[in-house]
Amino acid sequence: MLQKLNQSASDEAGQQVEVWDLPIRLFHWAFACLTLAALLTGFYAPEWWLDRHLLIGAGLGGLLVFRIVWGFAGGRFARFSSFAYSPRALFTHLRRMLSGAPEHHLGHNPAGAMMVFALLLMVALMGISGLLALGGVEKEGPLAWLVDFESGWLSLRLHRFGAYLIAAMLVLHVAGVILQSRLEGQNLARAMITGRKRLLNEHLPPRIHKQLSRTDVAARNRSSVRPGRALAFALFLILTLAAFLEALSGLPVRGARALTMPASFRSECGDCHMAYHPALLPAASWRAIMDGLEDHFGEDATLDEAIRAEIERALIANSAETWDTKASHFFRVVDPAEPKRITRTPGWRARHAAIPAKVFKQKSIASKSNCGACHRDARRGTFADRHISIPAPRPGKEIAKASSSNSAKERTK
Amino acid sequence: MTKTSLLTTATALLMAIALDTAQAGPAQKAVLEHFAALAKNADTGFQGFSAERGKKLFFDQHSGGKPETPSCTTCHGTDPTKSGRTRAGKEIKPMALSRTPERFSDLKKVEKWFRRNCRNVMGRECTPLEKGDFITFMANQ
Repeated sequence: MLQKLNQSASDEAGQQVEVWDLPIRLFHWAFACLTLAALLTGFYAPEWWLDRHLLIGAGLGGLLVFRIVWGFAGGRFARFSSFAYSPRALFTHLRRMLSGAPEHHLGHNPAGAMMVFALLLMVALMGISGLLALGGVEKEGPLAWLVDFESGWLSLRLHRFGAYLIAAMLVLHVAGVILQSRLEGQNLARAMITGRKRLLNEHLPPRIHKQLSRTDVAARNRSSVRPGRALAFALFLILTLAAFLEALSGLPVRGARALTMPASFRSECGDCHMAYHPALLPAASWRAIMDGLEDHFGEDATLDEAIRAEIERALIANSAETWDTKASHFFRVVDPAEPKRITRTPGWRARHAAIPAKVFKQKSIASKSNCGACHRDARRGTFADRHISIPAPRPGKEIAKASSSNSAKERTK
Repeated sequence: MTKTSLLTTATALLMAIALDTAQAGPAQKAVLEHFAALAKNADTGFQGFSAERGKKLFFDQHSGGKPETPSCTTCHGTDPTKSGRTRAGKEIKPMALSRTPERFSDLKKVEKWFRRNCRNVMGRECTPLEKGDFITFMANQ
């Protein structure tokens, strides 16, 4: 392709010139697809798709690193220096555009350039806020050692806000491309596929090449270094960054620890229900539960005093107040009318409101108190989104036979 | 204890054990002996445990207990050879000794569960006779 460009020495309008090099075109569409995928999985996918959302985010991170390298080493029009316009240039451009006498740029025009920088910056910020949220709320990823829950929660809200902002920017970006395509009389989206634009008489060369003729610019649309080297360098940076983040992920998590409970906890509590992680209720609730075992949610669950006291001590020592995990924050505020019930806490109810009752009734779950049926990490008390797996309800077949075992017919068997 | 009362106790014990407790191992037999002695203490006319009575106890709808649990079968299910399920959704291994051979071997555990579950279902503790009947029934299953 470069050969062809070198041949095109004449300065005739109407000529096709390569503006977007292949790496930048691949980058553009990969970045667009992954950004859309990140928005879709973020807004619409269920919690347990977080894995995929993170994978998409990692892909965007890799693309960003490549784009930054290519912004210094890529083709003329890919280089940041070729479209780093001053605010004044942007203002002039917008004013002329609105007054119906637009400037035409072979590469990015000032408005488009602004969008490129803004989108790259926003996606980078989304990566950072996403990792902060992942670390603080989910207690996972490279920043889990650093971020507390409150900061993570705030980051999550900023991450969500940023997603709306990016969605709006994408709409603006597409609108800008359509508008500029009309003004120039050529399909600019197609130019991002073929790489070529038709040269117009009105086309201004990129800012830094004013001294060159337009075809000179086109002919020199090649990397400042050998593209293979730049790509290898980008790959090296990406792998280094990935290894670094992976190493950080191995650090001890902030506000969470391995739980140590007396053996009696698992055997006594765990005989009838899952041995709930002590972080799932505040100390006051545990005290109330252990002081009322004669009527334990409608059943007698009395214990020898020594064992009862031992379990109570361990529960209180590890109650919600002593953790910084998502679950401990959601459940430390209880329903004053039912302080013993995890499933009555506002946090629990808000997070399970969308799940139909029949899902809980199916045989494999049986009860809302059977956390482990859907939360594979329930015993660890982390309740990470990634580890949710809700069994699909199969109406008519899987629904538990609610207390049909009491029927008189079967009694006489 | 007089010689005669000793003899009757021994007879009762023998009867209790001679009864078809095919699945019962030494640990379960010791638990049964324990309850037989207590039953004998409570009623000198004790004639040994009955799997039939144990079966009735297991399947009957009782009153006086907690409304959520009117019968053993509420949680244990209607087939002792199959798993039951607690109200919280946890599996309970089959009650039948043929399926869960380690059942009724630890007296402390046996007493804990009879205490809790008899209160739950009947609103009172079970008598040694009822406990022995129950275990005898399950040893037959």
